[in-house]
Amino acid sequence: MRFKIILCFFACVFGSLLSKAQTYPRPEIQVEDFIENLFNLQSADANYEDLYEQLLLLYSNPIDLNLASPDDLRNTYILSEQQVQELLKHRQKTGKFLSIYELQSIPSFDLKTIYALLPFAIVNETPMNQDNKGLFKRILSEPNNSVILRGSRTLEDQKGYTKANPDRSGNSPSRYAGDPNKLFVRYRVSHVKDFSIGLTAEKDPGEQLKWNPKTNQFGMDFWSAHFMLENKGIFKKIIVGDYQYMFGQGLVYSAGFSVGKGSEPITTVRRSSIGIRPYTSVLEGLFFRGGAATIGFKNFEITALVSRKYVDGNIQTANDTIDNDQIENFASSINITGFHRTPTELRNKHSNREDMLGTSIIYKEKSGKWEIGALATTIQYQFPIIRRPTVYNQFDFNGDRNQNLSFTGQYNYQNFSFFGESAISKGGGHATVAGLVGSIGRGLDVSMVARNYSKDYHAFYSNGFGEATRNVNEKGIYWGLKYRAHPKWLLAGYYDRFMFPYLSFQADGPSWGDEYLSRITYSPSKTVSFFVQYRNESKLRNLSSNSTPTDILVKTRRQNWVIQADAKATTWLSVRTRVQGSLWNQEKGSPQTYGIAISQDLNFDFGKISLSNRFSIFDTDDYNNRQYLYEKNVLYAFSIPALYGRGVRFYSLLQFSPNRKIDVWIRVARTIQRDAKTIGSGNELINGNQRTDVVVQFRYKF
Amino acid sequence: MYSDVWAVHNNIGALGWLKQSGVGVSFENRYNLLALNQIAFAGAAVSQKYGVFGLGISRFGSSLFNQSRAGLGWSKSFGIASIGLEGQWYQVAASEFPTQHYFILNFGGLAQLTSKIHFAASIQNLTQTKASTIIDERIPTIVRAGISFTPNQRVKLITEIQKDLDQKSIVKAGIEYEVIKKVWVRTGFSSQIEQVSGGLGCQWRNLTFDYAVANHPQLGWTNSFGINLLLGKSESDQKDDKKAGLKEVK
Repeated sequence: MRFKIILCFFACVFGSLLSKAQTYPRPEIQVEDFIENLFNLQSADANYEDLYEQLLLLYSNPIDLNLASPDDLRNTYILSEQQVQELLKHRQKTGKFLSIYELQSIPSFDLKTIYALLPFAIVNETPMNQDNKGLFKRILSEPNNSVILRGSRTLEDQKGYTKANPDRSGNSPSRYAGDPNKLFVRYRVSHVKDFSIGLTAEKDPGEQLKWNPKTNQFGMDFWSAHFMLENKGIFKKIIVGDYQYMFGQGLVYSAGFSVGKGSEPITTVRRSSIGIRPYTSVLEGLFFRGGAATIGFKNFEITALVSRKYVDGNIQTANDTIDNDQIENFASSINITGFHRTPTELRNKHSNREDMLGTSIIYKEKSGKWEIGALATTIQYQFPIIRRPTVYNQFDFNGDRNQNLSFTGQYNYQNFSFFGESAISKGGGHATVAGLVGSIGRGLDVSMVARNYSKDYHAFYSNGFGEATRNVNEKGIYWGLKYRAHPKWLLAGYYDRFMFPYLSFQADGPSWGDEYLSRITYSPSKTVSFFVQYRNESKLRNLSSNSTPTDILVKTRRQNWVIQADAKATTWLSVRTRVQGSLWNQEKGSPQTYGIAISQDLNFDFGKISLSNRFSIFDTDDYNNRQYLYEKNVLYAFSIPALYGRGVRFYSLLQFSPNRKIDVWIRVARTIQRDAKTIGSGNELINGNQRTDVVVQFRYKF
Repeated sequence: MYSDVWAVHNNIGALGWLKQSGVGVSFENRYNLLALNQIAFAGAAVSQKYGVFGLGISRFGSSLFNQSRAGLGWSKSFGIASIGLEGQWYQVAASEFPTQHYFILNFGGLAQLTSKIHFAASIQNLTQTKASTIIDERIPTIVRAGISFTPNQRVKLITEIQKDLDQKSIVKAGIEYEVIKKVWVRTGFSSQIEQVSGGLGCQWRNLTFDYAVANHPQLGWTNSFGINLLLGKSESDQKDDKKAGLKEVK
């Protein structure tokens, strides 16, 4: 072993002496492959586009192996706990990584792991700040910068862009104010652990492109910018602009991001305290706007957060019942979709002000063996939120102020990592999550998570581990197991059991259920891989065919299966076939329904020019059996259509680089449902049986 | 170690792998109800020549309703597999009803497929004994089949399917991990009855202690505790002694 390390060391030293070109070129992130391995794509009520956007945000900040904290490493979701510990030990023992090749000398790092890690990891040859250049010069000379321009639209006419005919009472149905083009611009220049500057602007389809400073619209509908510095004196991080904050296990502040249950059963169940992160996305609800700073003082990290932003919501007016002259405004909800297309959406735009103050303190033991932290935060709205009362939302947040207090901790023992967070909200609601991940043998990893979220717990930016999308009204326990039985065979699976003590989505009563997934991956060679996956979820839901006034809870079961084969035929041609299907049924309900989708990919890659194609066919009995198929798209964009009904879908994506500074992407996708008269609903409705989406994107590196 | 004296209650066929005689007692309280207490005794005598003989006694319930069992079994390993047979006396007593006695027959086996994989199966109430002379009600016949996998010396993964002729099948899965020498943690779950459980076991000289807690979403908590006493010395202990002896000599 020692010999291997020495050999590697010399290889690196000579490598770097002989030629600078020897540094391993960081491959472009193949997001789709990576994400497919993490996510369990067929979950019923997840907003995948948001999740992907968040994951991308995470990966657009590569980690430097010489500076990465244990949390940074875990946050890649690639490394097992054993690998994290061994990498840290290696760094401690042999000093800084000289090259990414050095990863091979860590015993538990197999080639598969290294290849998976490469797109997200770097080894900086010139350590930050040490090249004596001023910050301004460093920013100007930073090679990691680019501007991206993207335009996309649906070619068919959608209802929202047609002329509205007034109905009998003279009311015109609402239509979109703008054109169907979607525009997106992003500029970013960053250097790991040094600085990050970014500017993002977006106009959604149907939104207007206009300059009207009176309504605070400056061309595009959404603007976001940030300026962040890291490791400057006592400041570990300091940021102005749009940012996110992640603390503990995400019960209060989660940076909007969670992977949770998926095809990767171990590394995704634990959240990492990564603190302040710049925000470069276009989701208009999940960030803070203002400033934040983290100060490092001995083993303490103290963070202060300030934010003021305007949120969308329907502001209503009610007369005070006691004093009739007194008029009170309130919001019935907060809308985070970020669409401002129709008159109603435009009226609700930025109608309510949200102010946030927060502070946290984290103590990290020197060797990184354990850490504890506390967070206190308050969020205040200009107009109180008063929901229309229903049986469901009895315990939801009402009022103009919420406060959270949270404690978190983690402890590493051998190849185990224990973690937990416990939080309370102003109304007395509480939430607790605790778990462990560990390596208990060669290639054998386990995880376990228990959670208990009370029905009256309120936190607007939480995203802790759970079955439901919000951390409320849930108890459960989860087991995960992953076993690399052989370099070619990988077994993974989880079992999760949960209960919802109060009413929940589509369940008008206390309910419970369980879910399990298993996946077997076989990779006979570096260019061929094959997997089979099965997932089963049973939970109590309202009987959909019930006609009595009172809902009846019955066991509702959803099964999903996937078989996929990948092969890289030659250096320039790769193929993939995927067959997936689902079954859905309710006890005492209508007969079982089915869905199936088959897709065939054909990808050509000639280096400077590549072409990806897919043809897929789908046939589902109903919406319950809708099939999600992850599709390749232009860099940093996502496409995960939910296919239901009967039809075909195909796309072609062309990418080429006229020179080293410019990349161009063009994508055309079309769905045809021959036996349908219309596609879509509401203002998105198309009169016809096909829908075509076109995207064009340019990237310029300065 | 993939067998202990409790095989006499769970799978008589596994008893044949026992290397060391022993006795054990256990106590279980289900869902914090006094009426659902169970106490049990298990004992096994190992004979190199004739195989392993086991005695199992248990009582479940209170004075108003209780079930008692007493069984005598025999098991022996042949090559990579062992089989066993047990005759059990089974009594059901409910106040104000005449007490019923039955005789049932249990059968089981355990095979070592590879050094890491074991397979076991058992049939409880082979005879499908009638419970009533008036209607065709039978004592439940339960068939169980399971696999254990030992990827390394500290980890054991187990899964089992259990089928009662008149009930839906139950799948159980569990994991045992030796955190430090002679201390085991365990956790597992079962489908259908939707119970989750966790436990701790440790060995001190000839004594082993086991504690388990289980939770059912509606019914609540179940606590179990057991003590086993190993009689005589096992082969591994003898090895340990030899090593210790060597060190002393050095």
